[in-house]
Amino acid sequence: MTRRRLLVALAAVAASGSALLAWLARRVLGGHEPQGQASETASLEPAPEPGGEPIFAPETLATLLVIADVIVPRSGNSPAASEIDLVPRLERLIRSSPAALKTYRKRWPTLAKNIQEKVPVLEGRPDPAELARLLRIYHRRFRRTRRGGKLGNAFEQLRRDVLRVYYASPAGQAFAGYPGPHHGPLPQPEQRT
Amino acid sequence: MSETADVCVVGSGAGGALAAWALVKRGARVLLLEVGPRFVPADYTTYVPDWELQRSRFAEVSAAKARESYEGRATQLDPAYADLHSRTPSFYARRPARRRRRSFFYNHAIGVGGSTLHYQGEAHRFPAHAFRMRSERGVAEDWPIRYAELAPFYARVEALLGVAGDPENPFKPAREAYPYPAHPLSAASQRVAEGARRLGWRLLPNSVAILPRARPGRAACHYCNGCARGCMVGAKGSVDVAVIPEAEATGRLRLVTGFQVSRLQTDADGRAVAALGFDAEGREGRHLARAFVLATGAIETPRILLNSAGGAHPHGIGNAEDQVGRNLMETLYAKLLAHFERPLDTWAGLPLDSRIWDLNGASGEGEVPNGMVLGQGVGVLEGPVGHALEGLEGYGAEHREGMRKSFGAGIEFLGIAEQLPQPENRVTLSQRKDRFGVPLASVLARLREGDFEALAHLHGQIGALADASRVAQVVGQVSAFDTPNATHVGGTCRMGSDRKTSVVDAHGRVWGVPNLVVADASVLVTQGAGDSPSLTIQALALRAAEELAERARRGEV
Repeated sequence: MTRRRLLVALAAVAASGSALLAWLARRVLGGHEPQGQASETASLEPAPEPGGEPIFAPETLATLLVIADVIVPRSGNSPAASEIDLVPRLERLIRSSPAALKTYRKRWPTLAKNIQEKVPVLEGRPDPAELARLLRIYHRRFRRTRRGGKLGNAFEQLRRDVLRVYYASPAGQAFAGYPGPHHGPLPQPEQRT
Repeated sequence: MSETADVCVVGSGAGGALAAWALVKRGARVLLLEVGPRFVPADYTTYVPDWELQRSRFAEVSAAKARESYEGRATQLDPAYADLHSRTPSFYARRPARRRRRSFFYNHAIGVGGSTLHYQGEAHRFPAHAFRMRSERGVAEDWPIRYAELAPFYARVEALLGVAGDPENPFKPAREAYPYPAHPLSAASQRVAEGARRLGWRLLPNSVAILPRARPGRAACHYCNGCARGCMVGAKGSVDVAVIPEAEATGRLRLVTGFQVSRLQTDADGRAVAALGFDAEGREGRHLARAFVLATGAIETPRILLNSAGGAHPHGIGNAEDQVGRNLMETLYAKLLAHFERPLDTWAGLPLDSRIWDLNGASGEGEVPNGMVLGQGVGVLEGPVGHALEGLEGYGAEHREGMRKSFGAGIEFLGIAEQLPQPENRVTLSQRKDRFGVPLASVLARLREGDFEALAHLHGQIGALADASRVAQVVGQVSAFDTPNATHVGGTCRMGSDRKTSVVDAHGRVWGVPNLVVADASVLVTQGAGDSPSLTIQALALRAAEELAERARRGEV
C-alpha cells in the first residue's frame, strides 16, 4: 500500500463524518501521538514488498485496527495494538511465511466483511459489547469445532499475529517487564596464548 | 573427484566432529564432509530484539533440508489414552483433538556442528544400567560394552567440551570431579527443588557443556537462556566451537561444506572406497578415502547405507540381516506449562540447569522399566510472545492483566523417558526422491503399549512435581503422544555382538565392512533412561575413531 493511497482512502472516509475514521486520519496525518512511556511512532504504511499487494486493503484497515485494539487494548500508559506501528509489523510477519500470506489473502477479506456486516465499523465507533460478542463467537468456533470454520480460523490467526507483533515490540516487552534477550554486556573469551 | 584422504568423515555434528578430531590428533589426514554451511554468530537470532518472530539461519537451513531427507508416516492415536492429548492456550487449543499422530518430526540442525548448534548443552553420562537393560530389566538389549569401558572416553570428552557439573550425584556411578563446578541454580530451579523435596526427590544441578569460566577462545556463560538459538559467545560447547577449530589447527583436517553424501561406493570385496554425492550447485562429486566414518544421524545414516545397495551389498551396506533402519527410538517426553504466583524471572539462566534423577531407574525400582528424568525449564514461555500465546488464554483486557502479572512466572515441567527399541519402528527408503533423484528416508515411528504407559506415568510424575512446587496455575500440556519431537533419536544402526541383531560391532564397525565406522546416534542400543545422548555419542565416536586409527597404524585398514 502506498501512503498516498492510504491517505486518499482515509481522507475520503473522514469526510463522511465517521468519528472513528477521523481519529484514524488524525493519527496518520500526525495529529495524534499516543500518550505514555512505551509508545512508538504510528505509521500505517505497510513495509514495501516488491511486487506484493498490501495484505490489508485500505477499506479494511479500520476494521483491522479496531479488532487489534480489542485483542490488545491500552493499559495504563502502555499503548494499544494500533499504536505501535501495527500494520507494517503485521505485514512483515505475514510475508515471512508463504503459508500465512496465503491464509490472509484468502480469509482476511471474508472476516473483515463479516465484521463490517455485523458490527459496522465504517459507520462510526462500533458498539464495544456487540463487537466483543462477535469476536467471542469466532474464538469459540475455532476452539470447539474440528475444523474451526473459516471465520474462526481467520480470527484465530489474527489474534495470534497481533499478540506476536505486539509482544515482540519494545512497547510489548516493556509492558511485560522483559529486559530483552541481551542481559547486560557480553562476556569476553580468554585470550588464546 | 577429490584427492584421497586417509579417512573421510561424513557429518560434522556431535559424533563426526569428535571422530575427525581424534583421527587428526593421531596423524590421519581427514576429509570432513558437511551438507550444511558453516555458521557464524551473526547468523543467530539470539540477541535480535524481536527474536521470537525470527528463526536462526541454521533453523531455516535445517527445515529446508529435512524436507529433502525424510517423510514421516502418520499413525492412528489410541483413544484409550485421550487424556494425554496435547492442549495449550494457542497451538493446541482446538477441540476435539486430532485423531492421528503427526508425522515424524526430526528436530535436528544442519550445518557445521550439527545439532550441537541448537542443543542446550546437556552432557550426561548414561547410567550404568542403561548398558544392561536386557540382563537387569528384561527389556530391550544389552550393549556390547559396559559403562566402565566408556567412562574414560566420557571423561576426555567432558574435558574437551568444558563440562560443568556436580560429581556428587547419587544416581550416577561414582566419578571424578567435572572440569568445572556446577552452575548456580536459577530461582525457578530453587523453587522446584522445594517441590521435589516434598516428594522425597532431589533436584540436582544438571551437567552441561557450558562454561562457568572463560577459557581460550570461549567466554563464560552469562545466562541469557539463548542456547537453542545459537551461543553468541562460545560458552556452549557446540562442536563447531569446542572441537573443530582444534582439529583444524593440526593442518590435517579439510572441511568441505555444502556436500550431500547420497551413497557409498564399495569394491568387489565390499569395502567402502568412495563417498558419492552432490555439492551445493548440484554437481556430482566423489571423495576417495582408505576408511570412512558415517555420522549423519539416525535417519540419514541408514538412508545412506540403504541407498548404497549394489554389488557385494545387494540389500544395502551392512544390511545382510535386514537390520539397517530398525529399532528406531524417538523421544518420549511430556511437558506441563504452568505459572508460579509471582514472577521469578524465569527467562534468565541456563535453559536446563537442573534435573531430577530419582526415577532414572538406577535403583532398579519404578513403575515403568524405561526410566525417566524430570526437570524444569522455561521453554516456550521464555519470551513475551511465547507467554502471550501459550501462557495465557484469550485476548483483551484480561489477557493484558495476565501478562502483567505472570510474565516471568512461566515454567515448563519436563519429563523424558526412554523409548524402548521396537524392530517395527524403522527407517526404510521412500518412493519419493530428493532433487538429486535419491530416495528419501521413510520413517515409521509408532507408539506401542509400553510407550503409552510410560507417557501416562510421565504426565503423572510431572503433575505431582508441579503441585508440590506450588504452581499457581497449570495452563497446558504437550507430549509425544500426539506431538513427536525427535530431538533424541537413535538405534537405527545399533551396535551389538551378534551381526544377526545389529549393524555395527562394539567399535562402530559395520559388520562385513571393516573400513566403515558409524559414529552417531544410530549405534545406540538404548537411550539412557531419559538422559540426553550427545555425550554418549561423542564418547563412542572418540572410542571408535581411536580404534580405527590404531587399526590403520597396524596396516589393517
